[in-house]
Amino acid sequence: MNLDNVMSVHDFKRKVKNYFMIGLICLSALVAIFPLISVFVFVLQKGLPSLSWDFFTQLPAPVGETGGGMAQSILGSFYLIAVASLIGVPWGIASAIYITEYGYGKTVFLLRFSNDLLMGVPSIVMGLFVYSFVVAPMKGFSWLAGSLALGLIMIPIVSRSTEEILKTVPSHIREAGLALGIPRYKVILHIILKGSWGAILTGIILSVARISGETAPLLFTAFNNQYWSHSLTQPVSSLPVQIYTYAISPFEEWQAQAWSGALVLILFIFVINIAVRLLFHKK
Amino acid sequence: MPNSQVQKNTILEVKELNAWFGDFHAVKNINLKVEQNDILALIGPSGCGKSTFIRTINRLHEEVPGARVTGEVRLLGQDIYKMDPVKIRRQVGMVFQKPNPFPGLSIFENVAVGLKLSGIQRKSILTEIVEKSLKQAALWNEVKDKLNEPGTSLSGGQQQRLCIARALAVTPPILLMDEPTSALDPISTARIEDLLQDLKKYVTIVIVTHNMQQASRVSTKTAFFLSGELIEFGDTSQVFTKPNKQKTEEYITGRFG
Repeated sequence: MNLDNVMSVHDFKRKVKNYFMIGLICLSALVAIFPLISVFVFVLQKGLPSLSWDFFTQLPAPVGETGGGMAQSILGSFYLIAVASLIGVPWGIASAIYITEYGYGKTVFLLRFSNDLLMGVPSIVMGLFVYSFVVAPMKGFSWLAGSLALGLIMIPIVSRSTEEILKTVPSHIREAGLALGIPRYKVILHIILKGSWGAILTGIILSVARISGETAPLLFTAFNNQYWSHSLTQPVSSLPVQIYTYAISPFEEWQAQAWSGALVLILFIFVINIAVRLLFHKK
Repeated sequence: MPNSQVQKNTILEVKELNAWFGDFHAVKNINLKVEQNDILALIGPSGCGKSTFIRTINRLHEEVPGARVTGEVRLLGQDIYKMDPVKIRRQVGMVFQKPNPFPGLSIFENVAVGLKLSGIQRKSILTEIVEKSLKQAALWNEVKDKLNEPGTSLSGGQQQRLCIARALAVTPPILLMDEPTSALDPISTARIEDLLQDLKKYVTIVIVTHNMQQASRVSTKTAFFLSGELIEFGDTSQVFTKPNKQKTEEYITGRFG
């Protein structure tokens, strides 16, 4: 009887502690998602009013006129991302393949370490690098320069995510391939990569989401353009840079459009993230 | 084979074979001969070099960084260490401890992949060989209606038979099996043991096993390894009933290992 009482007091204390800690954990989870939700709601409120069909189809209207859109920036962003992916994806995958399949010892350590460093380089520095090595010699801002800057940012991200996936392929799968008399490069291309393609693609798409919001490296590489541009050697507009330009302008009309641009960009990144999870994380 | 007294051809001959991992001398001075249609069982305690030994026969051992081999391995008379490892491996099939069908490939593709990646693209030839290999591996009836499903969707025992079919598809004269049933349940194990008796009509088998009953049930020849050395090698019936070496007797009677 006495013992029961002692136990129940102890039990009570333990339960209170337990609920208190659970409460704390829930609170921290809320704190973590609060910024995301508030940013989204805020951008939605500000951006939705001036979002219209014209926004997606029209070029910017001259100052003082109403209407107009960011069509050239949306297309420009796609251009920039497409060419950046052509640079960053094969390079990143190749580096991951070398690290996991061919290299060993110090080389792997060095490569992985430089990948980590590269991932930590501020994106504006990447822009400056491309500015001095591409923009300055070519004497002009360009789509190519912008994509190069974004591509360089993609390399370590794609490399790291691909490496993590290749590491999960057990070594006896590779050996089974080799044991069939298949040359190593074919084992890698047709068996290892084929089996983990979904997961690798996820990493690639997430890196696309990551670069699609980059502004700083584009400011002095791709610069901006108020008109359609389809040439690799000409300046090209992009959503983030256009948002930046409009947001710091003194015109209310433009500022409103900057919010709409921000909304479109956020939605694009949301959709990509959600789609990737739905497509590849079901199993 | 019923008439085992008939002169058989030597398919595999190993002379003074040594293998290292860095400084570790894993396989020491092995000499043995395997004849066509034999099933050679390699027995011995964990870490005695059995697996390393069979991995020198298809030159997989050297894929491990720091690994090294000396000596001679002759497959059908040809010194495999003087040949292209890729070509050697097409003649030496291998089945691993854990069933390892290639992820992302269908049952059909799993069996066809060895042929396909060595240049055979004709669908009719592939279909024919896939069917034949799956039949040899006693899996055909279970999978013939779902060849396009992923290989990884099969049960463990079926996956292991799929891996056997995959190895047989490139028609190697010799098949290495590294504890092929140690990850399987008793029923799947029994099926694979039965299968071995059929398989030896087409292929010579070298099987590593931890299970002495299995070795005595399935094999015609037995080799006992201890600490990297080949202690005893002979007909399975002789090794298990009247071994020449005391160590062998101690091991098979369960006194150590």
